[in-house]
Amino acid sequence: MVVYTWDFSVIFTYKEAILKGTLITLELTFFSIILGSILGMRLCLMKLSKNPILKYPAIAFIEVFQDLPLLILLIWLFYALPPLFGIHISAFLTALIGLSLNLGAFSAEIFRAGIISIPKGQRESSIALGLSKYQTMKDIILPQAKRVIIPPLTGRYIETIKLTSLASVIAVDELLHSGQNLISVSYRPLEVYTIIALLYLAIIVPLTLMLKKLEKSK
Amino acid sequence: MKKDYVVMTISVIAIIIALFALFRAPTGVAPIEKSTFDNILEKDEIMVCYMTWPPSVIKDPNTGKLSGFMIDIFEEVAKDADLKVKYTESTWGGFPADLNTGKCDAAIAGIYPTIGRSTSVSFTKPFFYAGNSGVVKAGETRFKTIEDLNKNGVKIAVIQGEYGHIYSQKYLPKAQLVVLEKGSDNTAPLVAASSGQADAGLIMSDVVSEYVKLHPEVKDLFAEQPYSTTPIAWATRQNDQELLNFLNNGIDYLKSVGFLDATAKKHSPAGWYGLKQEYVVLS
Repeated sequence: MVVYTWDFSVIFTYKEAILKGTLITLELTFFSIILGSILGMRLCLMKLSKNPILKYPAIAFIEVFQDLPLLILLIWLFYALPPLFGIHISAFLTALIGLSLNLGAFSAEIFRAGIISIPKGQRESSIALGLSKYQTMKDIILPQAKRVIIPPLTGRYIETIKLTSLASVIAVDELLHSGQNLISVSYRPLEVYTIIALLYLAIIVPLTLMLKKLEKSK
Repeated sequence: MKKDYVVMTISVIAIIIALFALFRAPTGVAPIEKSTFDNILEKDEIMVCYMTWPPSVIKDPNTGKLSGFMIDIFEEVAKDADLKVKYTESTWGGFPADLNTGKCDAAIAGIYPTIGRSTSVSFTKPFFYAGNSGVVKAGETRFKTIEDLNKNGVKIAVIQGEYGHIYSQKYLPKAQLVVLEKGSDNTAPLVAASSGQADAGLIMSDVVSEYVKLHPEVKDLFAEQPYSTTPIAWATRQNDQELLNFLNNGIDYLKSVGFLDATAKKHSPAGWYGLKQEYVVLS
């Protein structure tokens, strides 16, 4: 039996650090979801377009950012952009861009699957009734496509929360990185990692339940 | 099928363009007319990357305020030259890239200059030597010396690229290494020993000394004498000779007035050694 001396008092001493890390994780998640979803919808519409100038760049973009591991993407963006293009961006912004590109690529396919699941006849009927393409998409297609889109999309959003921990490799002060800094001062690794795990659960479990409820109501 | 070919073609073209851009682009920082040190003097500001490693660099988890003897020493060098210091947090794996991409002018922490690292960054002269130690279970009687760890079936936890890793690869070939990623968590090899994932965990003496105070389940195997010592220095970009000279002169000056020893003593890092100035009569 392995004996480890547990002492959680350090967490109370450094509760501000844990809180700050949690807030940065939430902030990173929130903005990544907003930007990633907007990007995903744009990419989806570009991919569905018949115009090859829109369609093929979207296909290539989705393919590249779905295939690239996010960890590699974050490191590449953070270290390769300055020498290649002279762009210096903060670690937080790099993480936000990386997470949004990743979510955008995956959500584009989710949106597309939802939209093409609606029979073509409905679109043709709407156009025949005099609705514009925008009205058809907004009032006819998307409300029905939601049922197909929401379950996998919520899964991706929850995955995005978990992926924010990768931002620790470029020293973004999110939950994991704050925790690691706390460990280097407190020498209490297992206590800190336990609290980090519980905090991720505290964020994700209610969100999952809420999204499941939302799924059922649709 | 046709669509797949189009997608593949576009993807391949995109990758080729990216690679072309990569190899055409100048490597390292963009060419500048003035030296890094000229720019520092012009702006009265030096950009410094740091890696947290108490007690040399401590980042207060609550406030983010920096302290530690490396910070004190660097601040003293900057103060005497009327320079402001702009700090950016870096990582152990990423600081050479941070230097070479211009994110900072110098990197500070307990950095160990290796031959491999010297191919991508320059180092100041070493101004401390840090002891290396390790932990084993408190009741463990098999291990007394570092050589005792060099046995088949003995698991040693080390951090990738850290001295314990380099040493174990070279001098403990029979042991099985548990190589952990070099994040910001400097206790990783020690907790591996605490939790029974490894028989021993190797890291610098200062970390071991603090860890064993809080974790009676393990003991410092080299509490009396580190099994080896490693030189500690700061890093700059490879071609920044003026900045390197400036930092070296600063280190020499602070050593001569006793500031280095006094600052280190204030923070009392376990297993750290200063360089003693010896004088002899010339005639």
